[in-house]
Amino acid sequence: MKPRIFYDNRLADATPIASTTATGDYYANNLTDFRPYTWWKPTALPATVTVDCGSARSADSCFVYGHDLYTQSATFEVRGSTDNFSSSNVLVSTVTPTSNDAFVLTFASVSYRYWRVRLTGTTMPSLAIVAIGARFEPSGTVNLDFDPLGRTLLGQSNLNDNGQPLGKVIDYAEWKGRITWRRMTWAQLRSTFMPAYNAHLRAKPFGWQWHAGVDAVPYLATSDNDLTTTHYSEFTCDVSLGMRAVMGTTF
Amino acid sequence: MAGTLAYFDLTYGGVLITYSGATVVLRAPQESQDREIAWALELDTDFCANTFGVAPCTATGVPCYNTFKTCKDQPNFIKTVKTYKFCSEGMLAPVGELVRPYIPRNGVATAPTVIQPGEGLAIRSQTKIALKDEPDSDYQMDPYRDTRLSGSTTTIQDDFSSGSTSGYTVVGTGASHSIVSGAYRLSTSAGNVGQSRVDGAPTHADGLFEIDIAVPSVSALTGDVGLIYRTTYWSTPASKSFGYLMQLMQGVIRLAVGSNDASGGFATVLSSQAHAFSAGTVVKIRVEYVGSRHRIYINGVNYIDTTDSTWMSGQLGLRGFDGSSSHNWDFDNLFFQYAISAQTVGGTFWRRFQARNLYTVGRHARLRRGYVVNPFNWNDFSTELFVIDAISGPDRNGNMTVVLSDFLRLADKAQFPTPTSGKLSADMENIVNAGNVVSGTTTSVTISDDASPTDEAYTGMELYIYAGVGSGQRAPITTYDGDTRTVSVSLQVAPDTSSSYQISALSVNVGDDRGGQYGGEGYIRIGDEIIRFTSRSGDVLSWPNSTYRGQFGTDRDDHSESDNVQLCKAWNGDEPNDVLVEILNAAGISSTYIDLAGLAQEASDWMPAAEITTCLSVPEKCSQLLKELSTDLNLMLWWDPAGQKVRGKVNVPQLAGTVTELTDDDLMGTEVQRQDADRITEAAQYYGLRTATSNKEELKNYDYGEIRIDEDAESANEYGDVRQDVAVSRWLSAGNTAHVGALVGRRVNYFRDAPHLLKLRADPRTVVEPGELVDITTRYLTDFDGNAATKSCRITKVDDRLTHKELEAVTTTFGDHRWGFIAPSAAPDFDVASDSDKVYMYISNGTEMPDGTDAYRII
Repeated sequence: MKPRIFYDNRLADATPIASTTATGDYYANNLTDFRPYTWWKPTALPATVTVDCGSARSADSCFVYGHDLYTQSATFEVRGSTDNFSSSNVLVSTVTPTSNDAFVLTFASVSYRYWRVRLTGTTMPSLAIVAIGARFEPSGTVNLDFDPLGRTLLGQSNLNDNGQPLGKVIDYAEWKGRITWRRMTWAQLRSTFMPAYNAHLRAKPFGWQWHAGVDAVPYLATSDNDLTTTHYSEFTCDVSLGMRAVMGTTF
Repeated sequence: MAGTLAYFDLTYGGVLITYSGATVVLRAPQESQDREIAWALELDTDFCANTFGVAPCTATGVPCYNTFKTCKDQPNFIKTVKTYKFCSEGMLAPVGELVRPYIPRNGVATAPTVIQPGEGLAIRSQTKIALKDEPDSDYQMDPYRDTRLSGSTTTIQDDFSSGSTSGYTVVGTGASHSIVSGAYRLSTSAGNVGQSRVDGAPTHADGLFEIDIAVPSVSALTGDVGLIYRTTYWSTPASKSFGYLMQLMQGVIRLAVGSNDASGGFATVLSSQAHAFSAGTVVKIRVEYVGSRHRIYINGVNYIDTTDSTWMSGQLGLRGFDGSSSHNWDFDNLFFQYAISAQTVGGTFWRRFQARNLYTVGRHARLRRGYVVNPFNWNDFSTELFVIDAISGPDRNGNMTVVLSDFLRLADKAQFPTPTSGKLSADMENIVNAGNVVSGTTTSVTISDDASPTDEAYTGMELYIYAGVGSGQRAPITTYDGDTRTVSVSLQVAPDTSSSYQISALSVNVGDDRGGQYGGEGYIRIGDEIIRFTSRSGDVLSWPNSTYRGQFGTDRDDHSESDNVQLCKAWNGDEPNDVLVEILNAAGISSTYIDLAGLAQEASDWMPAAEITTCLSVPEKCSQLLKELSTDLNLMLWWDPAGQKVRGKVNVPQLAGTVTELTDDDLMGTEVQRQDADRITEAAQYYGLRTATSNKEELKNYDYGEIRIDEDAESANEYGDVRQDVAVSRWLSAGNTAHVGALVGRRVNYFRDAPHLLKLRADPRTVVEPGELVDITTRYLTDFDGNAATKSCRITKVDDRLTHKELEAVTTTFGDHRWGFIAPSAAPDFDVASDSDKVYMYISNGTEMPDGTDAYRII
């Protein structure tokens, strides 16, 4: 399976309206900011967060990062509507997570003016990032030397005065990787990748899944400073993007 | 040889104590060899409990941010606490908790408290935390974020005092407008809608609209009055020719969405709420429409909160309709703010925080350090309490710096007693008049001819017969006749011509509106005289008789108009721990944050003979007062951030059974410094300051002194020099002879040999607390044979860097003798005693114990 990037968010097209929101630092808008530390939490289930995009807007995936849906035994749904869920109410995708890890839902691209996240269950979950948006999955192959799980531990090892180890103290583990899509067509680069890069990938966090079959849990990644597009004569190029992410232990 | 009496210091018959610091718990992740560390910071800020414009808040217009700096109704500000949380970058926040990962790696710089045995008050700690900044949605900080218009906004206000209807365009059959009694009147004809457009507001998206509406009679409310917005149709209106309509109707307020054209029929009601309007009253209506959200308030109470996005822009105006008759609808105090463009939020988190939260200094902050495990648990963090000293920045990298101080730093800023601004309103002579009595009875005394000829000149003063018949009597003068030089008094014995008298004032006036600073009773200083006053009426401080003057060894004196009157603080035979607590309280440290029980225990155990009698007659820094007093008590005083208390500990031994042991196996680096400059051979203490206003630095001003000399240390075979430590105490009076004797003895015992300062690095699993006595065995301090020696050391500094701990400890000797505590009953004989039993003292009949070790000594 090919690596995929998840970006953009229909919920950010306008002010999302929640059916209920718990008091405290919980706001429906927090779902849209790609920050894993700002949260929305309802006070009653089923709960919905609905947005009116103003006109029909498309999506083909949903990236969810930071949640306790599994702990709270909740089910997560993505729904679309043409009339603010009056008579049109289409279930686009759904999942009942089996862990609190980040996950993605993918589906055939579909357009709706009204998009909705719906939660069912009995106890209230919290969610940090819900991005009903686009996925970028180029046709080319990934470079062979791509390192999906290598990481750098930032910390120090302690030895006592007698030279015996006392343990390791870690600040955090950081993953840095560089992915190169071989022979991407210039058409795809111009029509899909660059718009996504300029609008989102350049400066905002995004979802990153290097191999949905081997390692389904997506990262929340940011791009490094350099993007290269090495040109070939056959109207193709190698698109190379550096990325980094924090490898947490708590989600 | 049974365990019997023996103890450290017979003077006090002290008892065994144990370390009274915070309970130390080693957390599981801390013991682990794989530790993922993190810092967290919690900043407490003031936040108003009110909702803007809702009683008791009377503010109107653009909402505040619920901070005092931004408050528009400060008299009704209700202070509560809002906490902002930050953590190390890379630490993933616990689910559902807003903790901003703004602390960069190595972003916490700590300068922890440093305990100084013999110096009293510890060096106060300071912690600097770097914090990153970023654009932010503002939802956490702004309670009105959803409805606030930001970015480019325009405000229109009109109280109609100009008398002109210019700026308003009326449409509708038979409709007109006018200004009546300073209010805007929209007049409508029977059965026709009247609308008045606010011309100054162009087509816009979002708005905040407030206006007062006079409630018509009930019968008139067969129609409706209200506001229309996002309206694009301004021709002759029909029943639905508006975007949105806020309607006041009989018993109902509702929001409807219209057709924005000339359609008739019924509009679609989005929300309807019951409300009983009282005819003849005025209601303040507030409408907020931002994006698809619409909220409507009546007199500050939210009635409607709904969403609809049928119309997203247009103009606004006023509307009235009465189906059966013509009607006048009155409006006043229009406030309107609108935004042409979509809502945006400028600035970054810290820029906004700084602008809105000006008053953060002195508020509480908690620094949490700990270990991240899965599942996340704050119990794996320790929590230390500080006060916010400063929030500064940004630096060139855009980072902020939060400076936290321990609570004792408050004592560096506060003064005690509080400075007072009173001044004498008139000259105050020591003796206003004196002489021999001309004639007298028990109720009337004629005084010298040179007394004042002015009636009532001495009324309220004291007549004191100091010689002759009736000597020693004091009485207040109730009236004075200037013609006859006669005072009215109440005496037990009538004076005669042999009697000599003095007249003195029994009160002072400290100036207009300044009396409130002095409380109801206390001591004041005027010049070099201390006066005790027992009552206050307005700006006048009074005392019963002249013996209340010249307190604390000072002399009665003449004083001049405009001389300062400083409120004093006095203690008379008080417990030393009570005095410490009072000074800490004066510094702004409430008793909640003072280890009262621990201080009381220390006082009971180690300073039972100490009592405090002194008078502070000028404002001084509380930290200086604490340093002086704690030094005089041989007390170490410091802030324990983890225990969240000010703690005190007398510099004496503690029970060996509680002592932590550290060896080279626990330490990651050791440095030893011999502190020879601290060594002394003699200790002298002067005490009993003659007068409260004398120079406390000059030895000649003290009545008493105690000195201890260690002749062995001064001998040629030992150090062969004389090093004197001379101290003075204004806190200790004559009744402290026993305490001072012990104080100088302990001081010589402790400092006769130069202590060693050990600078240690330890693994995070090492748990020691400031002030604790520990046994350190290291090859850097050896016995005569070169083997690592075990030294009893006082931990003076703990800098927990999370990656490791930087420790400082000083060796303690307590006289370099074997000491012990009084053993409990039924203690075993020495022959069969365990090592832990031998912390108690055993009596030897020689210089050694049966096992060949040194005998115990009473020191």
